[in-house]
Amino acid sequence: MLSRPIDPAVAARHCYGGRAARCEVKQSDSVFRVLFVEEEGLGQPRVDGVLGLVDKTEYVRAASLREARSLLQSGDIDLVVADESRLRRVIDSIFTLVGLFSVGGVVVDVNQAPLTASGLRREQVVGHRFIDLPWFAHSAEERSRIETAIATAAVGEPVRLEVWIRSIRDGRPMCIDAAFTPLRDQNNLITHVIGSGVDVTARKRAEEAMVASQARLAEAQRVAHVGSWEWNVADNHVNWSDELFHIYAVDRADFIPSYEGFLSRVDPEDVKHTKAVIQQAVEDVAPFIYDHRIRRPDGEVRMLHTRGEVIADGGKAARLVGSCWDVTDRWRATQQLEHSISTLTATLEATADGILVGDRRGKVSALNQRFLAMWRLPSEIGPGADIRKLGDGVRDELVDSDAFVARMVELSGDDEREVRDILRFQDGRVFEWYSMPQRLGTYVCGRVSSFRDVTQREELLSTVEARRADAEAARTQYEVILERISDGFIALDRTWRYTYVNRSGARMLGRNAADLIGKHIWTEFPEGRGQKFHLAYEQAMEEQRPIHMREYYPPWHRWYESRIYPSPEGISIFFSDVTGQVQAQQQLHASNEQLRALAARLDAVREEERRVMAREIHDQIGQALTALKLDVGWIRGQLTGSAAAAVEERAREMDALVDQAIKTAQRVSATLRPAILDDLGLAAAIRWQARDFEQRSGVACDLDLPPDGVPAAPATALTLFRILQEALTNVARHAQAHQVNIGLTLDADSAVLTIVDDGRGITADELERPTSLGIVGIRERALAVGGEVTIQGSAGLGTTLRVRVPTTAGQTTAGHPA
Amino acid sequence: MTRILLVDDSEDVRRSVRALLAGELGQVTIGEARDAAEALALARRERWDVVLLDLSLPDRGGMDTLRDIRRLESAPPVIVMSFHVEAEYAAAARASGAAGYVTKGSASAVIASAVKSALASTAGAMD
Repeated sequence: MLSRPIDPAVAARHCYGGRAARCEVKQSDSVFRVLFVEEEGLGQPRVDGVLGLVDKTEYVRAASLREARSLLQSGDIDLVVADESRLRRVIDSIFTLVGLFSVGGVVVDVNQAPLTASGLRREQVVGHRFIDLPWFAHSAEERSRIETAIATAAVGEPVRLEVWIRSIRDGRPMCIDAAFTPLRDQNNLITHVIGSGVDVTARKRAEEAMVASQARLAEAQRVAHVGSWEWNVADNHVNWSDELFHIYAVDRADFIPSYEGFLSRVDPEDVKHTKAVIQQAVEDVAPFIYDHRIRRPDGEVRMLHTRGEVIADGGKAARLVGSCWDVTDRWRATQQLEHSISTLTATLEATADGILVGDRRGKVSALNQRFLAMWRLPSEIGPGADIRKLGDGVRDELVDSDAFVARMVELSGDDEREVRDILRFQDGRVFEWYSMPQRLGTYVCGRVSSFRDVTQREELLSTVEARRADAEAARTQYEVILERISDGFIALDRTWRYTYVNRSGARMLGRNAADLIGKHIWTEFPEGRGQKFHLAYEQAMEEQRPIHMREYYPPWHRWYESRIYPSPEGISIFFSDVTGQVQAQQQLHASNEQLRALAARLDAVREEERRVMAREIHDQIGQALTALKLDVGWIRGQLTGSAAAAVEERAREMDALVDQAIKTAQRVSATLRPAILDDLGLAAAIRWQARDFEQRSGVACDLDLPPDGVPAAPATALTLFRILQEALTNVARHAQAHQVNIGLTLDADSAVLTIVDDGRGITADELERPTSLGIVGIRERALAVGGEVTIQGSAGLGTTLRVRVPTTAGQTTAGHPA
Repeated sequence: MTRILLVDDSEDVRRSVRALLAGELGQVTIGEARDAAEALALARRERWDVVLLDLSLPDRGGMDTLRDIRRLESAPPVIVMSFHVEAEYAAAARASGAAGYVTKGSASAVIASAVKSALASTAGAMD
């Protein structure tokens, strides 16, 4: 029995005394049995000190491993002491770090390597927890990993790990490839954990360097858009770098590179050339450089710059290696640049302006043909020509050559200057000259001048200017006139806004002209909306025809006369206040009406007087003369005797005198008032009057009359009869007629008298002449009874007078025959 | 005895005509009327061989009076004696039934002749 449980760590310490040995300690309740294995070659075990630790110790010796194994199998062996000095020396001599740990992580034994590396002695480590020992400068993280690995192995799970540590001797970082594996006894129970480690720092460094190198290469390829490839011609095996896959936009998993696969990606237009280049390289076993386009799966075209070398084997091409540089961006930029240059060149030549670009040395860097043509310079002049010489050659053609030269000098001394100038030539040509610096970024690298032939424009401008001046003068004149006239004048644009108001117009509108300009007429004068003037303005504007109107304007209680003239731009309106004029006209009209009524009344009175006088003549004078006539006749019948002759003579003279008196009375009576009109009616009166006219004038009368007795109102009959008399008087006096046709129609409503002559024809002037009193009288008579008169003359064909008067039926004119 | 009705509003004219007819016709009865009403009354009431009628009467148109007389039963011939010389009057008088038309300015012989002529026609008709 052991007096106390043996601490295996203590036991091992004593057991080995710093020498390499293997020691297992088992507890036993009775006798602590120690088996010494003295296998040949293993040396003598030394167990001093071990014995002193136990109360009862039984030493069992085994001469050979076989014997030792047999003893162990018999059991009851608490401690096996084996002299393993040779093996130990072997183990101690290897660089691998080896350690034996208890399942709790306590160091049971280690070989020399960790001791050498750490500078510790064996006795300083055995019996201590591995991770607590200052082997290396473990980081807390690595320490934890090691502890976990030992614990994992202690439960049966081998662990391998790489740990980075730092040597406590020289502080050097070390990478240890460590392994922890469980150690089992004959019962397969885990008794220990074996740890081993190899310093792989150098290898690790190399690996890391390689990985970094590869990454840097890939990165370089990626950044440079350069992919590399290798083609083994014999077996058509092709290797592509990652970047090449990237350049071709294909996935390594989907695309297995081959020569044919490569060709299938080349742009169809470049396939032939590509094959030729490669074929030539293979035949010549020579390096090659060429550009070709490829098509990505999505159709995008990329441009690759490929360099290749051919590696020969036995004089024949065995492998091709090379790189592909994706130069698409540069290629596109070049294309763009070429396009731009092409566009610029075409534009330069297509422009109507003459263009001259000079560098800072005063040499031509670019020009177009138009420039040469404009300046009448030889067409062979091109880039490199001296601009000053060009200027010297043409300056004498300029009107002001000194100014031109001064300008050239000025520009040559000031790179930043921008100039716009007009160059006038002696032959009348005018150029517009625009000069500005040519910049490359902020650097001025030259000067661009453009010349435009503006001769026609200048001529046009001067013409326009002259016309504008004329128009301005005319407009001023018009305005002067407009401002002086008493009529108001306003101009409105198509949106009904005032564009002009003259002084009189402003006064009549009661506004300041300047205040109205631009204002909307119906906003300024809303009371005018819907009035006749408003409607007329709109009508004039819409129909584009002038309108002349004179209307009452209720809002202002005044009469205005307007002349509205439309134009596509708007309307112009002359207007005047004619209220006074209209009132005067109205008064005149009223006066005329009064006058007419008075005249009609006078005429009626005169007619009545005539009628009375005629009757008096008839009743008094006529009857008296009648009686006298009969009496004279009676007297003459009574005469006899000598005195009779003398009396008879006197009686006869008396009879003649009475006859004359009677005839006079009859004529006067008929003239005053033709009784026939009253006694026999209008038709009979016309007939009589016509015959009388024939007899007096010699002009034949043709009548178309209704039968006698067809009734006509006395006033109607009298009017028509007097008109007939007046008309026949006119015919006799003026018409130079040979024939007069007189027609009369009578119906229930009206009587129409027509008098047509075949004379010279009354003229319009005669019709309107105020001195044509006969015509005026005819009109007035008709008007007095509500009738109307039309008179038409036709030169050489006569005159037609037509009178229509209303009539009232029922009363005949016959009534008071004498 | 010949009976003549003389219709005229003028007393002077009637007197002169009366003297004329007396002188020309000798035994003659002359009735006188100053207006149409009297004339028609006499014409209805008595027998007349001839009526001498002025067209200008104060109460009624002469032509109307003429037609009234002519419409009477056994109407006497009427000679219109008017101051109007216009032919239309004569035509109108004849159209209204007058036997003759003489103007007052005519010579006495003309008037006498017209009366005689009318009397003759009346006598002939009575025969």
